Amino acid sequence: MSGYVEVLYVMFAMVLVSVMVQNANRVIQTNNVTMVEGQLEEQVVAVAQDIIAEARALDFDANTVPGAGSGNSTVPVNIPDGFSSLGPGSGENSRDDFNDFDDYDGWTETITILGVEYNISCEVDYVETNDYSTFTTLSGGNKSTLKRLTVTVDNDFLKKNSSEENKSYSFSFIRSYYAD
Amino acid sequence: MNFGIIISYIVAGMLMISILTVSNSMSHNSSELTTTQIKKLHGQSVQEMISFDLPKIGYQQMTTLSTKFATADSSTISFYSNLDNSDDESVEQITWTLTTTADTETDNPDDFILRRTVDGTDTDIKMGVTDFDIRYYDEYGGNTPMATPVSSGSFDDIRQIEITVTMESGYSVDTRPGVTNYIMSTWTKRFSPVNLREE
Repeated sequence: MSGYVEVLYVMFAMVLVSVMVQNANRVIQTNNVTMVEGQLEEQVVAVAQDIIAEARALDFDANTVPGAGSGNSTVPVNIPDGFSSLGPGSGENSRDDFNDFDDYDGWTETITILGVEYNISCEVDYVETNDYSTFTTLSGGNKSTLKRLTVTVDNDFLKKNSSEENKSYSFSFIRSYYAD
Repeated sequence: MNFGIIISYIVAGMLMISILTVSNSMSHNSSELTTTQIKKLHGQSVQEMISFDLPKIGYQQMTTLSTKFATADSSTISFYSNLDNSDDESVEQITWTLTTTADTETDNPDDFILRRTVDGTDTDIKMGVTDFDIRYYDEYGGNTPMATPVSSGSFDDIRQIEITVTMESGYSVDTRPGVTNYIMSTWTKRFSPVNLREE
């Protein structure tokens, strides 16, 4: 029996080592996920900033777009009621057709950067002008001189903890007609 | 020597090999993670500099410069701006280019010196930049970049500038002897400078 006592010791050691290896693998996996997530989150921020900067470069409203050929800005008679309703106008079906800030309302697109797909969705709202803490969304077709663009980006490799659901990253920008 | 002891030695040897392999993997993974973090910090520094300069293309106090670009190529961009917002309205020429000069201070043979020049004053950025790709678009949200180098007659058509910066670590995080593994970090951003808007 004496020879088999050593075997039992070794088997016990194997169990200990197995637990150690499993823990080590878990650490390595966590590190790898952290590395990949860091890279992807950096790009998520860049993508959202791209969309916000692009929307900022356009006119505030469809009714303030300079007249064709004249180059002169137009101004609605009644502000803010003279502003357009949110969303793209007729014939504005893609980003390169957009000509004002709120054309991005309801726009969704999947863009591929370096082989990785990013799902983008945008929402534009008129927001309250005298509520600088929460910027409450105006409803019922009410308009104001402030518009908020919210860009939401997600990616199939960025998941919520212990879930198969994609993690969404939202970025908001509020634009004022008077500070354009 | 009895049979049990022989088996014990064999199994103990296997355990030793397992422990050494795990230790090696942990060590490699740890250095990979640390290098990634360092590369990320380097990347953020370059991003901050680029993001400071590019949105100001064509900027002048109370107006927009009529001449905005000097060069618009795939790895070089040179533009004008009152970068420091000086009251004397002096205009600076800013150039970003990926030189063909290899960074000899690193082991990586693929990294080159990224150079930022403001009115002739060079700042060499030696942070392992292996690729610096610039694309120009003549419409917002467009998918087809303009042909490079953009001719001076088409400078006024530029609306957006997309930059991809790829950086690699200066040393290899080896997995096996003789196999090089440089940690890579890539960042792509499309800028929409307000002064490039159609007037």
